[in-house]
Amino acid sequence: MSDSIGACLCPQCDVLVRAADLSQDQLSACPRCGVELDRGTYASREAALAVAAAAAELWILMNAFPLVALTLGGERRQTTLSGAAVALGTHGMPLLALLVALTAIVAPGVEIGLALYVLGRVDALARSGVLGRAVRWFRTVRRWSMVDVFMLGCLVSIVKLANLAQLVVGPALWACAALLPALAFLNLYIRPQRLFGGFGDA
Amino acid sequence: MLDGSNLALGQRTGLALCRGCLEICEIGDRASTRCRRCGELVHARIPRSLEKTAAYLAAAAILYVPANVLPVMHSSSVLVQQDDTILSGVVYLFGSGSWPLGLLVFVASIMVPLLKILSLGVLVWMSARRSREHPLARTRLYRVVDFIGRWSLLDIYAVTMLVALVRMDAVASVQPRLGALAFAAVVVLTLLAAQSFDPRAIWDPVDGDDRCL
Repeated sequence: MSDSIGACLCPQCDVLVRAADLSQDQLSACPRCGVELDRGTYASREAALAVAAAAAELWILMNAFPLVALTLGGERRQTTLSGAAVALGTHGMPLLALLVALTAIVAPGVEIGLALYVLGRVDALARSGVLGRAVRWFRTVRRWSMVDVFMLGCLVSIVKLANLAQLVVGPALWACAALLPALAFLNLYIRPQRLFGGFGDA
Repeated sequence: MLDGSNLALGQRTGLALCRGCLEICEIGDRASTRCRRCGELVHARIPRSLEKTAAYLAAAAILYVPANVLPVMHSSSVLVQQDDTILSGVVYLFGSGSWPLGLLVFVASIMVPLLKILSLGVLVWMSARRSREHPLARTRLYRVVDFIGRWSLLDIYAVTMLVALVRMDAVASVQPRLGALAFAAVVVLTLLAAQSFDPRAIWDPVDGDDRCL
């Protein structure tokens, strides 16, 4: 899967395929194992950059505000995302706290930061040869960024508590929900096939 | 089409894919090379892929037992003291009327880790035997396993939120228990197992080239 020699190498079955010129929403798949090799995207770099900026704001909102507030027996408790990770730590599960902090806070943050860094100056980075490194880091971090799973986990906890207490969904959970399509869009744009293809069209 | 006899393959043309940035690198007969685009160390195949995957799987399989037997959390209130395992959490969701969510948690937390360990086990076993059977089906199985694995962390996040929210010391509180740690370890280990498995090991025996592996 690359373009320096106008070809793709299937990552799953090693077949060498000629790279296709794709129009928007067109997919190219490996002729032997069927894995998706590339897809045409129509978004411009400016649009992707705008989405990355929005994602950064949503990430800040997600961390700054409470996720859920709960009233039980006349007492009210609310928690932020980092507060939730810290609570695990104070209850004797520091490793678990670390896992939650890394996958739900740090990895998405780094993912968005790298997206901004890459999209902000694609051409300069490509010239100085840093682009490849940045894209590699993005791809690695992305695997451990689990905002989507966290969001669903939150919903499960809300359903579990709904019968027992009064719940208010906080701004951070809405931000979390809004962050999901933004991250999906960034993943579509920050792909080697797209960034190294020739960003004359970007 | 399935047998690669007439196909240009990376290993026959001396090319290797960089897993970092998907660049095609000329590797020839060398064991490794540096990707000129991202600086990643490139190998024709993930080194010791099957051994690494098997090791992660073995660790995950062992921890799967305490992850399901030990309680993941302890709830205490004025009326009840209760230990909950993953399964009792699912039963509670079914009982409290939200069966779709119960089903979701059951699939994500109990079915997926188990099927993932079994599937990757079969993939490693068949590749180690250099089986030529059903390469396409096995590649698809790998894709499903790779795609679905992360969703198992769902229950860990749910427990995290319960612990953080329910802490009215006198009235009610929820505390995490060792089962949660074991369960999180199972999920992380299966994620690492899926990442270290090289799906090209499924096709190498089909292509009849013994240079790799």
